[in-house]
Amino acid sequence: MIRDDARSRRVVIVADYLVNPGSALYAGVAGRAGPVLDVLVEDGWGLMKPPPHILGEPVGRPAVTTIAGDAVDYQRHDYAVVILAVEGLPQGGVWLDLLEVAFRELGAPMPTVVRLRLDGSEGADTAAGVRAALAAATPREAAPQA
Amino acid sequence: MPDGSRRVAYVAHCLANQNAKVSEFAKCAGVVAPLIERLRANGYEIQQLPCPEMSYLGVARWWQSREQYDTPGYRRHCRALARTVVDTVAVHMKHDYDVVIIGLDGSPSSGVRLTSTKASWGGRPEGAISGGSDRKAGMGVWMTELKNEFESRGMSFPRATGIAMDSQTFDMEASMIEMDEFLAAPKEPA
Repeated sequence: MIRDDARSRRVVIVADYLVNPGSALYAGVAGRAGPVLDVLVEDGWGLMKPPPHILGEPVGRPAVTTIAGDAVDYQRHDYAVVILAVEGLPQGGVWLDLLEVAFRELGAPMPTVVRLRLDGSEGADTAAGVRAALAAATPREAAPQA
Repeated sequence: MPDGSRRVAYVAHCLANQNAKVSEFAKCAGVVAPLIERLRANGYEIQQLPCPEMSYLGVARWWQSREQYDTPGYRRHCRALARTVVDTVAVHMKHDYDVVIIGLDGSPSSGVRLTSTKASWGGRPEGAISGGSDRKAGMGVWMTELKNEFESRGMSFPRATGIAMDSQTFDMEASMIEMDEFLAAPKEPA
């Protein structure tokens, strides 16, 4: 029997850049990630983070295929799943093309994609802006309580 | 970053996503915040290991002991996941990162120093009490296969520890004191 525990039932497939913006692997990326990880932690989102997007498809494809499979199982059990991508990075920094293929092969809908901008426009460099973007993609009953 | 070196921690999946836990074992909403705070404060980048239990049996899986997961099919699944992980670790090592692994002690899969045991489990689920199986020293099946993948490529298994969130006697405060010591340790010579 499934019993309740402390889990949020909210999961985000998040670009590595938004978790590790200061990585040496991203020396050539301009822009700021904003307080995305702080918001995700404070608001109780569970993370599913593929490897850095710069590593190439041989690494990305199997990782993304596994993540998509997990996401489909979460959706089947009524967990909220959102994809958090970066506007301007190749494939949103989160392998959006490979995710689309993986979800299609699984016969499942692609979760809603939220694209954050690194130039500070649309409020993506503030916690309030990140929360608003996530809230717009999250069913009301699954959203964090204020 | 305390000393300017590059550091990356590969953490057990559920340390960044408690939604992946088997029912009743999630101790917080999403991310295990005290760990993530410490990783960032000590200059570690964060990489997340896949959860082989989740991808093998899903979020509605039963409680299982290490003995139940120790099958050729599950080990094969773990080995497939391990190949991608070690491919990624190899890139970090190539860029001169200090790589550490933080598992989930007490877990049948992700335990590094402590795993689960209950050889009598099987068949109709019944009689399981809060806390589940017993604990014994040693690695879970997933960590064992991950270590095997490193060694099959002639690579050393990175410095590793575990957070005993799947132990019946887990104490977050004590665990984080121990984690502080682990994270502050200098990079091991190549």
